[in-house]
Amino acid sequence: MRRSSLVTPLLLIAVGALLLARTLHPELPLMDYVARYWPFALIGWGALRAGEIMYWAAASKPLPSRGISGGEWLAIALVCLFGTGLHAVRGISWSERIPFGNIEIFGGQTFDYPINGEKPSSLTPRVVIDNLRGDVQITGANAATVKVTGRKLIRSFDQRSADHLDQVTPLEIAGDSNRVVIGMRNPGGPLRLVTGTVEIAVPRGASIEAQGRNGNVRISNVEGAVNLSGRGEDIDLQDIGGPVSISGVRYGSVQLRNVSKPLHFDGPQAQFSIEKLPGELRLAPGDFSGSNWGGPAHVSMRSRDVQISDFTGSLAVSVERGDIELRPIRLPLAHIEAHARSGDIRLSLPPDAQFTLDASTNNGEITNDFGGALKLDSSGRRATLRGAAGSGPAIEIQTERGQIVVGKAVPGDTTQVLKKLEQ
Amino acid sequence: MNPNTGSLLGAIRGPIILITLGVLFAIDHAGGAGFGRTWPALLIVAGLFKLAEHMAVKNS
Repeated sequence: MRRSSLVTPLLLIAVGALLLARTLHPELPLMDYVARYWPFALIGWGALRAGEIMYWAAASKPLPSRGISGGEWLAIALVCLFGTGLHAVRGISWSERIPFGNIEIFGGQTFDYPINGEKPSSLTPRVVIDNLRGDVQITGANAATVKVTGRKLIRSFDQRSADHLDQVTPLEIAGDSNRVVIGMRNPGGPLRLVTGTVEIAVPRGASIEAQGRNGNVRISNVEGAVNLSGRGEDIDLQDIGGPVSISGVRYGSVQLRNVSKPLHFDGPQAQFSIEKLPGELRLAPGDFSGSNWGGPAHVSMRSRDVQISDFTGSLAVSVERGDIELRPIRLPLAHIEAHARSGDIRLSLPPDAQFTLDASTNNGEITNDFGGALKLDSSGRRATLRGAAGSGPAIEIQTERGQIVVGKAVPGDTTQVLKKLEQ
Repeated sequence: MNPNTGSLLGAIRGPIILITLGVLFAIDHAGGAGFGRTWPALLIVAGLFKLAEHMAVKNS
């Protein structure tokens, strides 16, 4: 009789759990976890098989002639091809900080080397950060020079290899006075073992462009445009005078404060654009919050709660899974649209606001604080609230599944949103 | 040596080679010796098992 093995059902459970985690938490960098840790699946697979065979031997049951069948070796070959391919594409190493506890088993040691460099520039240069891995902090200063300081961190098993990697990956500050390119020379091979913590002082009028894989990026006090692309962790921008454009995958949080020109964010799970941001916003893995915006603004999220308070200009918010809370404070109101596929929508308006409302939920209830000016209709699970309070701009609210609350805001009550921003 | 030792070694050879394969890839991804340099370890492990099986059959 053929013995049943635990390997196949456990593999199915593991793959199912991985795919479920991906659908429930699309913001998690699961593919990076797989790229990094897939060899442990082979180890676990082999250990499970070995354990089974030892158990059968101890129980004096007949043993299979081959511990791993031909079909399993084929599956293992496919796993190896997929894993090595994914690892090469993602360029993941354990020396990089992707949040998954602090598991470092074969990581070797970290060797530390100073970084220094300087280049004269114009007062409004374009500074390009190219292929600089690690944390970067850029600060505008009243000087016509680009100055780089910091530390290069090299993960290696011995000092000699680390010294060699340090020599073949020098910091380079290239270009001319109008375009300064800062990066590390790529010798091919294990550049992924080299990261750093770099502080760059640039002229206040500089524009910044960063591409490739970075860790945390912090930029402040810069008058020019900021353009960030590629993958990375936290972004923190403050006091930016030019337009801001951010694209790519971010594993950490994005925090923006005081951006004078339009800003655009385009990621796989979140997109937003805002005309100007005198206040602040924060995009975290589970939620998106902001306060003191100048519209028009568009926000589109796949799986996050959205809280926005104190905005002027029109606002359009769309969320697939998550609650929306909007709290305009200043009058007159502007056009507001909020759509959720699955989630509650709460709109808190000033008591004397004038507006025309069209709110509907296909599966939920609607609560109305504005009395008879708005007409509530319910039929089955569907409910609508329509009407006008004075003559004001249109407000359209729709959720496929969830509650809607149209309430009166207590003046100055932005506590909830501010709490989110402070976290 | 137990006469069943030979069949046990034959059965467990595959899983041990698989564990070795996983360890070699893990070392590679951690920035240690690359798989392109360490893969002969798989042959050594397979050879050791073959040798042990041969001795088990001879002694049984």
